[in-house]
Amino acid sequence: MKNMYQDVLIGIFLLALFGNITIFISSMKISSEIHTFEQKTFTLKQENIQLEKEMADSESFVHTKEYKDKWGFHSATKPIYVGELQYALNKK
Amino acid sequence: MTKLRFLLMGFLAVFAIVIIRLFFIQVLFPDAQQDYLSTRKLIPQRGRLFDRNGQPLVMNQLLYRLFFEPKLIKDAEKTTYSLAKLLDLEEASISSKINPSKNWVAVTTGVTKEQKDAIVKLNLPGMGFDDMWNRYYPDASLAAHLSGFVGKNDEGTDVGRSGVEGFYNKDLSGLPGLIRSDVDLQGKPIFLGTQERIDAEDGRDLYLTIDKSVQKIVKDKLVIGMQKYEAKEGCAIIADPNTLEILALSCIPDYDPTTYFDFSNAAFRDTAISDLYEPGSTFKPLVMAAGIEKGVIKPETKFNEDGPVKIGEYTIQTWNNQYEGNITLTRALEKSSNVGMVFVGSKLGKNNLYDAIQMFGFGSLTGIDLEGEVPGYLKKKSDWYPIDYATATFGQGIVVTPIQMIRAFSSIINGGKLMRPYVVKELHGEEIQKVEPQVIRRVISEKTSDAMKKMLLATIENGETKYLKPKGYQIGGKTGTAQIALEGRYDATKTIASFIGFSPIKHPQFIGLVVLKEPKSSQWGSETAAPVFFEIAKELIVYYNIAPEQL
Repeated sequence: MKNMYQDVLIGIFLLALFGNITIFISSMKISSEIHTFEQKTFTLKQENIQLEKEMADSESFVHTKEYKDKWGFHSATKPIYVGELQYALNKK
Repeated sequence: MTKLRFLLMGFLAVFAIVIIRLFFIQVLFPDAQQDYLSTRKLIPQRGRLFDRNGQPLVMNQLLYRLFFEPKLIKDAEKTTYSLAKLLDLEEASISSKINPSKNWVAVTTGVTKEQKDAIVKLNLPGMGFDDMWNRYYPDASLAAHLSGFVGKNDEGTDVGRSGVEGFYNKDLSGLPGLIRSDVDLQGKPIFLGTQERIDAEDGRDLYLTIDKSVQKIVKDKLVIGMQKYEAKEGCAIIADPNTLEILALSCIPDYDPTTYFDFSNAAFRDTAISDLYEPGSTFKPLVMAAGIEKGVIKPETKFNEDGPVKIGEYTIQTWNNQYEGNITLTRALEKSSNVGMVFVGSKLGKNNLYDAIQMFGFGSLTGIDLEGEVPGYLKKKSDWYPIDYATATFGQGIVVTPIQMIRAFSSIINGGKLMRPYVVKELHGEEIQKVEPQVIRRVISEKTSDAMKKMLLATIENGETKYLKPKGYQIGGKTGTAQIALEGRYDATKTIASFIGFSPIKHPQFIGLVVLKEPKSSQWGSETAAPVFFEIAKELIVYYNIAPEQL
């Protein structure tokens, strides 16, 4: 009876030890995952901001002007505005 | 029993080792730099600015600060050479930062992600990067005075200065968050330790009333006009007269908000809201409207313009000293007759004239949501001499801001409502807050407003100058030329030329004010500011697809 009591006690000890180690290891793993995900989230946020910036750049007048110069748009290629409506009304 | 004792002894031994080790770490040799409880501030992202169509005006970008830990640098020569090449810096300026007696030295700021990645690839020891949020302006200084810029306060934290950035600093800044967490030696959080997190609340995005395309048109035309007429300064405002949403606002000289630190404080001053000027003849329609509203005159009321008028020791003439005899007040406005306006002033009476000036909002803030607005200056009624009442009728001896002028003028063409001008249309946070147009008070009736629109159309159609206006379109407006007062005297060679106009006549869609300071090619508003306005108006008519009123 006494031996059985000792064995159970040792068993509980070992189980508690094993449980403790398991919890400790899994908490380390979770911590590591939290760290990784936080870093990934931050990287994604950075990428988003970079993409937003590129989108804003592509819609900017500065960008349009670059292409205007590149493709040779100049005053001769300007449309005729309403100041000379006779063109539109065929009254030239 | 022996086994159990052995196990117990084992546990005690391990426990003792842990305790002794902790005693060494925490009591005998504490490492000041190793903080197991890490507290980190979460920096919120500053709100962005968009135009009325959702086009970005001001964005955020992540740049980096490069720093050295000189004690850890192994090959100073290689580090200097490589960084100088990648960052386009002088080798001497980099090598001077490698001072082994220091633990940490900032090398440079504004390092881009591409540059950072290239430096990291070099795998050189003793350097690192700090994140730094910066403002990014896709269209550079297109709307510098409107947006303002983000500078630093005494504590080195970001703070909005001038324009929208200054006025809405609290909304744009957001709220910082906080992370408190136990970390291991590698800096990773310990899951079972302290873990507290308060998320940062990003700043609110602002959608402005500004239209980026209109802003571009206005700025381009203003710059061209200023170069053509050799003006010292210039300012142009375009607004919707029905709501007083500001569609474009540009004042030259301006500055680049990215490199704001290279400019003097004078460059940040938004002359549209912070500078006072004498409006000259652009003020006449306001006095005329007040007279019609009071019922003391009508557009067709006749008066005898038979020569200069004497007020005490002063003589008031017309701008060209020519007189047409018996003419209507509509004609007086067409030819911009100072004598005619003195007649209107005399009919209106001193008290009514003073009250009308106050009623149109001069001498008080318009309440525009831009930082730096001044209320202007209106002398106390008791300080006015008879000559002040006379000159005020044609806009001399009285000072206004351009934004006050556009607000007052809008009220005489929008049916008589004096409104609050504004530049922020919506605030986007967790909820969307919309800003509605705000009527401050009714200043004239719709009937008077209709009469004024007809008079202002006649002023452009039959005025002394024939403008190059788009054919088929009706534009109303008034020129102004005010001499600049220097040391108590007016200098005839230095003027402020202005023009205020609107289109279409029946249902005005836009109102515009152009003010040019000290144009050299001509001193007259009709020959300088007016052509700039008509150039802008031509483009706006096409942009807004406005149908011609007469063909």
